[in-house]
Formats: sequence, structure tokens, C-alpha cells
Amino acid sequence: MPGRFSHLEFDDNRRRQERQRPPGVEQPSAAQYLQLADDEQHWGRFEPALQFYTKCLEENRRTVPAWVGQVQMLVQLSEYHEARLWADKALEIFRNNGELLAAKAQACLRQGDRKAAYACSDASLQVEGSSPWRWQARGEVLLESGEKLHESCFKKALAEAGADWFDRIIIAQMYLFYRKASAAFEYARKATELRPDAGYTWFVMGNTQRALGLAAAADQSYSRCLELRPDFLEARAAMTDSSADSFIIRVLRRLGWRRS
Amino acid sequence: MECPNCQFQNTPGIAVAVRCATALNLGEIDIHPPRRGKGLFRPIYWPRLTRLKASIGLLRIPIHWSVRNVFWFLIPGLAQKGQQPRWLGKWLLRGWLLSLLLWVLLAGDSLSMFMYGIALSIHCTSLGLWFNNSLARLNIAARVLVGLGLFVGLHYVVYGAVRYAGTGLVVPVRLEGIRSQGLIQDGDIVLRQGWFFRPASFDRGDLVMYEVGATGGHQYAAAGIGADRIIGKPDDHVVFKDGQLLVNGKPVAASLRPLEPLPGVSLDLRAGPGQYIIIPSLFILQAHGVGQSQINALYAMQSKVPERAIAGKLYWRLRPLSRFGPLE
Repeated sequence: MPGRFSHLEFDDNRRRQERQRPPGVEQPSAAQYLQLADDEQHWGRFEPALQFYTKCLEENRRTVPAWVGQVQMLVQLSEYHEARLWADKALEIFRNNGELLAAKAQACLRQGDRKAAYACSDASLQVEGSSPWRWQARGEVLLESGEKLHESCFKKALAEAGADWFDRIIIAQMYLFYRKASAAFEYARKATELRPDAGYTWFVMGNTQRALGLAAAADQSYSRCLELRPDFLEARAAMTDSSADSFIIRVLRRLGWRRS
Repeated sequence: MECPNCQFQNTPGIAVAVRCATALNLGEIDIHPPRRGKGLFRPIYWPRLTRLKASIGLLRIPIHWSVRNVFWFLIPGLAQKGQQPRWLGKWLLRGWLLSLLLWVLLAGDSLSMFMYGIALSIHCTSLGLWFNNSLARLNIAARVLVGLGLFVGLHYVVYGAVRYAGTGLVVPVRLEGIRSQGLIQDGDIVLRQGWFFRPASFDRGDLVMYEVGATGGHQYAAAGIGADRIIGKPDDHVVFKDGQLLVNGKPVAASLRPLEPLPGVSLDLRAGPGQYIIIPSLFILQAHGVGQSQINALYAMQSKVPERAIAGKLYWRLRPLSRFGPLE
């Protein structure tokens, strides 16, 4: 189905899926869908992750992390306007939720609305509780504004209880987005040290190395990623692109150029 | 009933949480997020347009209009004095002032425009460093475009206004291709009055610069600029014959005559309303293979100058420096 309706899941599809499910196999619970979504996100597969978050909400609309995940995935898919709309909708339901406010801050920021991003980030930190995500979003707001304090926000995010390797990946991607490849490289390197068996860390590492113009090192990282998951097409494509980069493209990359 | 947002235990059957007003009955709420379309056009161009829009948003330079910021914008190096490294601002300011000084001192010379370009580049560099945080978020192509935009904007708006105001005061002119060996010589750079100081009317003997129109027919004279003394005012009768110059029947004093001796032409001119008589003596009017009467006609045509074609008085010699001073 072409156009904007291609993402919709009609009841017919759902019934078909249910019919295809083998007998005796139960439909996953909301928590299981959440776990599946997180797993997909940890592999940088944002579209399937978004679909799993939506399925999670189908099972239980009260799962706040799934709402946050939806907004985060929309941002990762560069659908900033949609992410902001969805964050607003989610915030109508879960008023002053810190995680949602932080996600909205990121969406606003990527849209170029720094003022709104600051307001949302301020609000997210004023709400009771704390999490790595809130500090990461705060760090991104400050990073975008060129404030040196963003580093301490990222450190605070990693010092939070529950911070893991993937938080370092998130920070590395934020740095990459703002073309701070050397800072991104540090966080990606720490992530690979923490979880060398997580293929996505090598993929992000490869991206940072490529952004730094280190084509050979990037190829090695992508190879390592493919060793861990041979069907990870993104790494294969990146490897092909990286080897096709001319000398000028590599120099331009080192200067901060990013091919669309 | 526990609120998913604030974890407050609410009374069963209640519609919204008591503490955070979150709706507790979410059964009817749509959970499918809005998605960007996948039409023919949008997947290819929409991300780029979105990025462009975001880039424009990112480019929003956080300047609030204050007197200090206006000074920082107009005078390069001032913005860097508050930034690291501080010496950079100092040297940018010095370089800019030196370039401006040389631009003015070398006015009329081709090197002057080079110095102007350097001053402009320093200004752009200073602004680029000031807006560094905003520019750093753009890709290199966007940064180049912003740099060009700054250059063009400064050249046409800020410096353009200064140049326009400057030409209201004085305009430096290099006089080339003239035969004079006296008051003005070939290659001299002189100053003429700008549009602001240009008088409404001129007197006999005024040394002026004027526009020369191309002579029709055989194109004996090309369009350009001319410089000489005004011999006759509107309605004056000027006769030049056998080396004697008469204005309204009276001989003209030596200080009011054309700058150079006139070639052997005979002229009998009457200035119409709004016309001045300026006999071109510095610029060589060539007329090969024609008779004296045609040469006389050419001189007569070139000597009647409309008032609006006179740009202003020449009053100062800039170069050579050995003859720097007023044109008297």
C-alpha cells in the first residue's frame, strides 16, 4: 500500500498474523515486546524497534518506556516533526513525564527549535527522578549550543544507575550527529571495550572512524560487526561505501562533511 | 489503580490520576505514531529538505540587538576580545585597520581594491569566528555558502553604504592617456568632489571632471571622462581663433584658459541654457584623413557640455606623492 498509509497495521493483518501463529505459542506480552524493541534498537534497527514499541502499546498502553521509545525511534529515523507531534500527544497523556520531556527536547533540537528544547530539557530535569536518558538529552541540548558543560552532562548520564554500554553508543551518535567525530570515537571505543560481543558497537565505531577519515580502521570495525552478525546489511553497505570513498571524499569527511 | 506516570495509587474507577492528572483509562487512545509519507517525491527529497530546514534552524545565530553587539558586528576583532585566544581579536582588529588605511591611502590605485578585499576578508573571518558555534553544526558546503553570503552581504550592504557615503565626499580618479605636462600629468590620481558637495552651478576657470559622450557619425571620440577648465557658462559666447580666446568678446586671463595649449582649431561657440563650454585640451581628439572644418566641428561638439554631465570640481592631487597637494 503506497504512501503515508503504508505504515498502518489494519486488523486484517493482525488477524492474519494471529492465524499464522503456531498453536500453543502465546502472543508476546507487553514486556516481551518492549524487550524485542530494545533488542532491535541495540542493533540500530529503528524501524522494527518502532513497530515493536507500538505492539507493546497495543498490549499495554500504560507502558511509558514504549511511548518514549516511539519518540526516540522517530528521531532516529529523522522524522523530527512527527517525533515532536507524538511527544506532545504522549505528554498530554503522561503529563510532565521526565523521559518524554527529554525525548521531546531532542526532537525539538533536531528540528532547530533550541528554545523549546531548552524548556523541555529544563522541565525533564525538574521532574522527580533521574535517568541516563534525561542527562543525555540535556547533554545534546548543550552540545548543540556549543556549551562545554555538555561533557559533564554526558558523564552524569553514565554515572546514573542503570547506565550501560548502549548509553555510550547513544552519546557517540549524538556527537556524530554534530560532527564531533573524535569525541564520538572515545565513547564508541569505551562501548566496544565494555561489550566487544555487541556488533552494533563495532558498527558505530566504524562510523566514527569513517567520519575521521580512517577508512582502513573503519573497514576493520565493519568486518568485526559482520563477523558477529553476517546479515547486518547496514554494515555491509557502509563497508562498500567506505571503500568507494575517494581521497577527496575522505579529506572532506575529515573536514566535517557528511554525505546525505 | 496505579498511575503509570507518577505511580500514585488512585481510587479504583477514577478517570485521571489525582497527583499528575494522567488519564487512567487509555483504552481509546491511538498508539500508532504519525509517519512521514513514502510517496515518489518525499523519500528522495524530503530528508534533504528537512535537513536544510534544520540547518537553517541551527544557523539561527543567537544575537540580541544591543549597542555592544552592533559594534562587535561592525568592527572586526572586538567579538574575539571576549573569546579565546584573545590575541586573535587584537591582531584581527589591527590587520583590519591597516587594510582600511591602505585602502584609503592607495585610493584610485588597483592595489587599493586589493586592500579593500583584505579588509573585507578579515571582517568575514572575524564574524565567522564569532558565529563559530552556529557554523560548526553545518556541513562544509553550507559553511562555504554562509561565508559567501557574509562576504556578499558585507560588500554590498555594510561596506556598500560606507563606499556610497564616501563617494558623497570625494572620489579618487586616475587620469590616464592625457598629454598634459603641466598642472595635471598622465597617471596622476586626483580627488574630485562627491555628489554631496557638488555645486549646483560652476564658474569660469573651475577645473572639473565631466562625462564625455561618444561623438556620432564617424566616432571620432569615445565615451569616457574628461577633465579641464570651464571656459564659458550658459549663454556665454566663446571664440577661439588664431590662438586667441575670447569670452563674450573679452580676452581670457591665463589662469582661466584651458590647461594645455589648443591645437590649431577655430571655434565659435555659444553655450545654450544648461550648457557649459569646456574645450578639451588634455585629451587628444584624433581625426585622421578629414579636413580642418570637420576637426573644428568635432571640437565644437565636444566642447559643449551639459550641466548634468559635470561630475564635480577637481581639487586635490593624491599621487604622485612628490606633487601631493591642491590643484592650483
